[in-house]
Amino acid sequence: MRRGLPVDPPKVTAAPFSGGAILLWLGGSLFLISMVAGVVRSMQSGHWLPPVAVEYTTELDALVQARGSATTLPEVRIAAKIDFDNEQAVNRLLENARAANNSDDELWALLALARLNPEDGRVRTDLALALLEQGRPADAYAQARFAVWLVPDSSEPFCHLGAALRQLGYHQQAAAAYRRALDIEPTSATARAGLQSSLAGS
Amino acid sequence: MPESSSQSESLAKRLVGRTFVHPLFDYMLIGGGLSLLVIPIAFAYSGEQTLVSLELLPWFILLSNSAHFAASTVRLYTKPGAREALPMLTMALPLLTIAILSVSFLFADRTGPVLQAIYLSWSPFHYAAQAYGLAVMYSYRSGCQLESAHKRMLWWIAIIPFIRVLLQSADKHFLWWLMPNPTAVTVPPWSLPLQALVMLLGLLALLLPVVLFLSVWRSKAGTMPLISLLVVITNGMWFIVFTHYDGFVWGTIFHGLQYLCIATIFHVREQRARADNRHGTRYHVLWFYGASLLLGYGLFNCWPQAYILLGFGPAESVLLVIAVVNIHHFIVDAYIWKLKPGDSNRQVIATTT
Repeated sequence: MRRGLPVDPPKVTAAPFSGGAILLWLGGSLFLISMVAGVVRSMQSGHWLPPVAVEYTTELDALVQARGSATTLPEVRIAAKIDFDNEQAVNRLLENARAANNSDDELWALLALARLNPEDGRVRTDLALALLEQGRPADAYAQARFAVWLVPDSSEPFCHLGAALRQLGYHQQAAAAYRRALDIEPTSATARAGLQSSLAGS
Repeated sequence: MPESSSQSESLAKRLVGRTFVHPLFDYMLIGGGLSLLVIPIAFAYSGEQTLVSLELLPWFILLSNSAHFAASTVRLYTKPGAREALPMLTMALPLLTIAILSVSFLFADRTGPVLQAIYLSWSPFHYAAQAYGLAVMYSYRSGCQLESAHKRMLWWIAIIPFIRVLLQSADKHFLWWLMPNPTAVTVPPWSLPLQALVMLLGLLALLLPVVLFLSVWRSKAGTMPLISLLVVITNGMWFIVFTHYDGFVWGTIFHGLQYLCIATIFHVREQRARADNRHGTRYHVLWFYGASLLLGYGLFNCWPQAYILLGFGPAESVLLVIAVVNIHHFIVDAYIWKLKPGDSNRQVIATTT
């Protein structure tokens, strides 16, 4: 005797569903209309049929080139927000946000990039600066500390660390951070000005 | 010694199990054995970063992945008794899907990340659930009566790769919503214990199926066919051997292939069992794959263009459609493979050829 799943005779439990056929007809019709519309759109853009590759970047890049970075910020923002794990999309938003002087979008893009590349010193440094500009010195301090650890031979994260500490009221620690920045880059005007302010504050 | 020879022959038969088409076909395409051959070749040629810039990738996606998404819908509407047994799914879901998709376009910056996170979280779970379902199906088909405890254990083992994916990348799924600062898990001190846990889960995903296999072997359930073991291990392999992105790409391609094969087998057997059937296997195979390919092309390639025509941006048009089609597929799939009494699935599993 064969073991296994017991087999029952086919049995269908009919469940009445009034209006079901209308819903199906409506859904099917809308879908078919969409298909035709999709082919029409594709023909408008110079293809006989929609291309095999399912991607949006080519069309978005063409849009940015045609209308400029600042005016296409809404489209680029939506792309980055939906495709939040796509570095290219997030970088495109960062570029457009900077071109349009939009600090909120810039900060959002930098946070997204930090998630994607946690150990990117450039991103952490820029993130610290963006947070300082947003008036969030505590968050900027955390990012600058991490940036200093990632790129210890760059003066910039030490400057941001100094600025964050100064805004938080730790003037002596801020002065120490600026001194480290000057050790790395003795000509840094930002570090020199920051050191002077920290010494004056303490 | 003819007795011992027949005993070992019987053991070999029990280990191979009752396949649907041919042991080689079932083990390679449905069990995922082919991916075990392709993975080392891919590594040998490209290292860990594979397939990312391959020009043929869109074609792979269309022929395997897009067609597999559509295959669940094709099967839903061709499965005997499905419209009567699943009226909401067959009649209301298409319109509901279109409505949800269209409304979500109006608030794309808010709905987009949510839909994206839902489908990206659901995908590895869906793959794991399919591996579990196939393992159970082949066991039943081969006469292995899995006990409840074994089935529970198999389910937990099968979803280990899913849990691992959730922990591996905190920003690509629904856990991301719950975190005030998602960057925290990617840097020390959280990153180190998480990485250790991820490694441990990877190891468990490959070892525990073997432990379960031996446990079933020693029980009264009968011999679990090796394909049940293989299907669970290969699903883990896709996400463990490769980087996160490549794991998704390979997983998507081989899962699609696996799905298309099993869905085609069920479709062909259901159609051939119809009293009014006048066609042979080849016709039904070509019809099912052709319909799935055409619908897949329509869903992923034509549908986004329609929304662009309506004036929506290219990103939301492509990404929201992909997310919604994925979610629709997961919902449909959760119903069409049920082994409820009276369902045609039971007849297909029980048939030999």
